[in-house]
Amino acid sequence: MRDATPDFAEFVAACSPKLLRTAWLLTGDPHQAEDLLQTALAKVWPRWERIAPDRPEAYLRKVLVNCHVSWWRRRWTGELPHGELPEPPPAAADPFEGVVLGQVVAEAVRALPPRQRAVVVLRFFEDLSVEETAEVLRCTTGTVKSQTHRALASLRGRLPARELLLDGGSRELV
Amino acid sequence: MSWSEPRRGGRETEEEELRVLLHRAVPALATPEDRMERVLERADRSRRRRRATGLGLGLTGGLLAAVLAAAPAIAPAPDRGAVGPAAERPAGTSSPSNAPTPSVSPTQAGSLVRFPQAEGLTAALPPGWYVQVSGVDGPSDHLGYLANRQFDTKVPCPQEAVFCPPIGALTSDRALLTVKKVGFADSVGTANGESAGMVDIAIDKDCASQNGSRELVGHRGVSLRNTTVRIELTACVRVPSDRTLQQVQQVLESIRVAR
Repeated sequence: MRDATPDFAEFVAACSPKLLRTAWLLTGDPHQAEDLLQTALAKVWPRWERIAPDRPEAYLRKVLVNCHVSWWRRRWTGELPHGELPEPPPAAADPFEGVVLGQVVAEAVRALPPRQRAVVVLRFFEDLSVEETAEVLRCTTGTVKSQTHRALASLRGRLPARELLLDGGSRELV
Repeated sequence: MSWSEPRRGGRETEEEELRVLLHRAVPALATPEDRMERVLERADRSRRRRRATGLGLGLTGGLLAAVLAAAPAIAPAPDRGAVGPAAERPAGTSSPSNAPTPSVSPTQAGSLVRFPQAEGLTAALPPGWYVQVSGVDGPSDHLGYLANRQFDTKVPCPQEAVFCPPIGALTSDRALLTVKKVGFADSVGTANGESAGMVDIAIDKDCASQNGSRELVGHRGVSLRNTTVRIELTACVRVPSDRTLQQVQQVLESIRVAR
């Protein structure tokens, strides 16, 4: 087994935390997120010398997202979208306890079809532009816009009242 | 008011709020100390697999060329089968790509299935069974499906399904087995090389959607890369005969690491 070069090791250490979070939003599960990240890194490593000089993080992100879509297409596991979501927390309940916020948002994102999920994560978590998102997903900008539109429409019905999620004031969120 | 009923600011506000929500939603995630080691191992495994596949294809091509060259001299045998049995072509190494491809021929007595996602892990299958194993670039916990009926890749995957094996509704005495790596063997009965028997559990909705009438689960501890891990075998069965239940138990007991 070939040892990692220092620059690859540095790259992994630097970009893994953020991409692990991206992977968590895509998979909704910490173990699968780590699995997905390692799969993507293992695909990048053999090509490292070629891609290192040219935006390796963007390349890794592309591999990671497309690997996830590929897993879903092949029906690897049970991470297909849920048909039914739990009711949003009622206004009287405190949604800021522990992981409630994370669960609610993650469930809503996971309920999206994989391509829409990827678009939401890339555009609103990774802050990529429409053009950059289209490049990662190897589709047109028009597709990204339409997928974004559909995803937002779908999320509208799934997330609870914005005041509960955003206007928590001094409350400590997850 | 729901999350994105338009407020002042319209779509930009909505998108900005979604950004905030996504960033707040992600929990603290642990970083495994051996991440780099695992990445390199995976890359190494893929490389060896590609090399083996290339070698296999090269040999196949060479043999094919030799057979074609000698074809006029070979008399056709009337009983020669078109497809070799899975026993001669281990399911885990039959596909040139990493995509999970179901076996098309039933196993023969003594067939061994290999799981690329858990290097060295094998299970012995009774005659007449079929397999679909996960490739090395899939999630590492899902190892494959085994069944005593043929898989059908044209079966649609229901939107609500929690898992989606390529198989239609089970009929009487049919069994679908799911093999997973579920973690470290930390409980009694799943130490290295040991297994508890298959035990009945409540039918979950996935098994119910497969028309199963009974669901069983069993665990077996195996040593992978010097670590004892627990392999879970879940059996969804439809009105199983004693023979089928016995075969399921035998599959569980046959799971081991072959070096």
